[in-house]
Amino acid sequence: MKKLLSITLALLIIISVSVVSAFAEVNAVEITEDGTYSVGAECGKLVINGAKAIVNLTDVSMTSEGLGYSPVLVTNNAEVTFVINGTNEITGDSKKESCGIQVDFGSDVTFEGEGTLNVTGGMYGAAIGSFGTGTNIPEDQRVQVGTITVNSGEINAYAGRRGSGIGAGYHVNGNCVTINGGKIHAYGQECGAGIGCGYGTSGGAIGVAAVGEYDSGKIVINGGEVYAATTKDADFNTRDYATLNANDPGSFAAGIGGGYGASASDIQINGGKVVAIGSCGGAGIGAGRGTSSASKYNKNAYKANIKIGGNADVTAIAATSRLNELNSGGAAIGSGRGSHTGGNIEIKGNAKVYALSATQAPAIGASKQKSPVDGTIPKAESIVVGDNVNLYAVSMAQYAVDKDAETLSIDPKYFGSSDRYFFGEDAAAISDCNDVTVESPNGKKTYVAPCDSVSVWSRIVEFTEPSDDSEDATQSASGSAAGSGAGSGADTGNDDEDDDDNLVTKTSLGIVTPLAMAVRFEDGSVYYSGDTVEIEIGKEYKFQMCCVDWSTRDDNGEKKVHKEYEVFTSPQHGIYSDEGLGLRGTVVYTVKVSNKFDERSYDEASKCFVLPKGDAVLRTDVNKCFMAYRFTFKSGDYNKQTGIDKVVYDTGREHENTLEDFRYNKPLEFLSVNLPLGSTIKAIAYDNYEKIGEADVFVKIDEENPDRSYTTYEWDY
Amino acid sequence: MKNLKISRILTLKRITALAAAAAVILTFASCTGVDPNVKQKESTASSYKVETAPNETQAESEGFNAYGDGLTDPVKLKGVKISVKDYAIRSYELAFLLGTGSFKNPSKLPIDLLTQYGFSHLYYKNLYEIPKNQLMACEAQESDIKKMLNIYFGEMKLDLKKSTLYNKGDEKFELWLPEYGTNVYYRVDAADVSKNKVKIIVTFFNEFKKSSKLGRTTMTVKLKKGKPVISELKVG
Repeated sequence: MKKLLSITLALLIIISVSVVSAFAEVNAVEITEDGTYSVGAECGKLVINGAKAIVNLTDVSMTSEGLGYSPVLVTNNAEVTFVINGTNEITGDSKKESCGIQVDFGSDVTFEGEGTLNVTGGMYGAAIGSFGTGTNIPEDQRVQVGTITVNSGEINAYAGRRGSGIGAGYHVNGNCVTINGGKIHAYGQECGAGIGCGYGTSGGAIGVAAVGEYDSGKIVINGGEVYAATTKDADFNTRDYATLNANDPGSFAAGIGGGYGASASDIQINGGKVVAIGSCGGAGIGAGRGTSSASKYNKNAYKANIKIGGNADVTAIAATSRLNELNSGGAAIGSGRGSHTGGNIEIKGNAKVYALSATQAPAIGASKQKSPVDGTIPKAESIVVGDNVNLYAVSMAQYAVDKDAETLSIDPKYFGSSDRYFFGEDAAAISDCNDVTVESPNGKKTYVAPCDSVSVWSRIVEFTEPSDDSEDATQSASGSAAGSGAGSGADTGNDDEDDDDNLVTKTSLGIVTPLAMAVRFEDGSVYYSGDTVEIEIGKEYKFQMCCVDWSTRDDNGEKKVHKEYEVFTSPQHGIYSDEGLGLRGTVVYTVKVSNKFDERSYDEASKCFVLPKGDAVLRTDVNKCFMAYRFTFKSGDYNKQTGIDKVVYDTGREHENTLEDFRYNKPLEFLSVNLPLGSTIKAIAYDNYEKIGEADVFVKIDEENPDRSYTTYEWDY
Repeated sequence: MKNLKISRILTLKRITALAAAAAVILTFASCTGVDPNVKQKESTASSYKVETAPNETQAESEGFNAYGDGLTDPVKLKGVKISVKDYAIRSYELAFLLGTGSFKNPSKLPIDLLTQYGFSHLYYKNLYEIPKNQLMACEAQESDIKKMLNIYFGEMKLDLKKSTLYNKGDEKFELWLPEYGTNVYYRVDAADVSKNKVKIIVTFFNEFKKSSKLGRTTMTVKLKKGKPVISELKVG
């Protein structure tokens, strides 16, 4: 009777307003004819069926929890513009396949307005887009999704299980998402991308539903602020890049692009500010994680095609995982781990791009996990970086840009010569990101890196000409010093200063070390990056390099971190002590502060640093004073870890997967560690933290590549 | 702020004296005094798969020591005495202190490693004796390091000046003595003496009780110009 009454009432409303149906039991409204409508807090369900409508959403609060449908449904080739006013909450059914706002194939949805929309998908569903199925199925049987455009408004889109934030659901191809404005936070869940498609597949039959056969569709960003990640736990405080967004160990998706096992065939970013974070093998922007199985991977289908241009300001991050190291390895822009290609990447216009891979993949290009197709190391098909691009690329343990790309085009002004494109070979481990000195054909340059916790990295920075001011200063100082020595000189003002300075016999020496390293002087004193020590001008001091014990704790079991590193969230900091914490090298280095302002050199043959008075900074991070060792496993890195006695090792604590536990008590997958030359390490291999082997390794310069400051050690396992 | 001081640099004179002493000690190791920590047996010249016997009289003492048992007394190769325990220690040094891994030709070992090995032996006959908190920056000449390497490996064509330890500016080798100090627990399992070589098979342990195995080595010692030298090492 009640139902009959409701239907009758609905019919009456339909008749009275011609276009709107309201279902009494859930305050449902159905729009079937073109026009402009307003929906408020009283609305429990909204359907736009075949209409071309403008719908004002004002402080709506809809949930379909337990009801088994999407609270908002746009269907039957409808064209809808939602104008967002106030604060709106829309939530799908977490137990049944549904979305927050379901956009059926053939329908188009646009968001505008100045309000806020918080929307959450239901099971297997996107927050905005489609839901999917729990079955891996051929393309012709899959659910399809309509197109989605955002012009303005603040949208916070939280995927349901295995869905994307904005785009497609589980086992569904994306269609077209366009963002022209607004402020959007989009979060995937359980292998779904932030924007793109949900969980594709971990591997079905080729030609039916294999890895690569799901696709995120076309994603275009022309403006606005877009923050996309694979988990709602992500924050976008990009200070901690290495572990950012890595709380969810099940996220194998891209921030923008493919979910787990899904391609990204067409991503275009032409403007706006974009921050995208993929994790656990997914790219920051690009494709999702692939597979290691040839039978589950369709090499003809897996794509990662990304174009960035205009005035886009893009930060793309491939995060490692705090709690699940084994699944890291996606590129920041490009392909996910377990793929055969890095795809086609084009960065042009005046784009400003920060690409950071906190994994062992390049920042831009192909993930370097072995190809599932033929076991080769994947490479990008093409990478183009235009002349006016401001590119900053960082990788934890790979080239910044995939140097093996079949086609690689980067303007020569990046360091002026081709062999400097991939900074990192000569300075594989830089500790002080606030004061990074790189060499270019026109002299040394200092840059500020945006991260603190990447241990080994490489970069590309647009080269800038030295300013006239700095040249003048150098000439002035040089002239003064010479004039002082000769008893004459035109620049009398500076001569006077020099005379005064010459009376000073002591000066402060600043110390810079590679990450997780220290220097030890002959009196046994140990200094870390950021320390200063008072030394006598003109006197030679001998020192040696040490690496610290990452697991350092004091007698009370509390972490013991050098003050310089207290701000870090990375595990890679501790202390060195002669009492058995860390390791010492055997090479004797010498440092001397000159009495001149312009005398700065490092003589590799004598291992002697001569530093200018007034700017005495001992940089041991860029002068082959160490060797970065990377450990990999022959049969694949899955579930395998490496530890080093006295450096990074199992301290016997229970592995509780807490952050503290990760920081200080675990051997690591993809261990990359800076080591002092001449030391002998006892490296230990683990499988699921069970010891499977060990090796004593003498740390030395690579005789075949003496200019290289990193070495790869491959376990036989 | 801390004031730094330059530590003592050993003189060439002292280096030469130490080198000479080490050479003499090694050359005549088999006929000099015995390690009080190691139980001795009668000489077993031309032995094959010599029986081993545990040392029941040892006790762990302070400092860094080598605690060996099994076959620890010398064997003879073409009349030349080979100190089994010395080569057991050399095996430990190369395998575990320097991480050489297995090798069949010592001259193919990394030049940095060889230089460090010879250099360290200028100062300590047994590298496990080097104190942990050593603050000494040492100096040496190429000829001295080569002499030491010749003692252990025989003559090799090496350009030690390619080593990272070489200071080209001052034309000398420099080294912070490595932190090798440790106790060595071992058992010589067998000495396989054949026509012109002896294989010394040693098991190393992590602790005095010798219940936890560290690893096993097989070192081949040959006669070169009538003197025993290390020609091969198998680790594991």
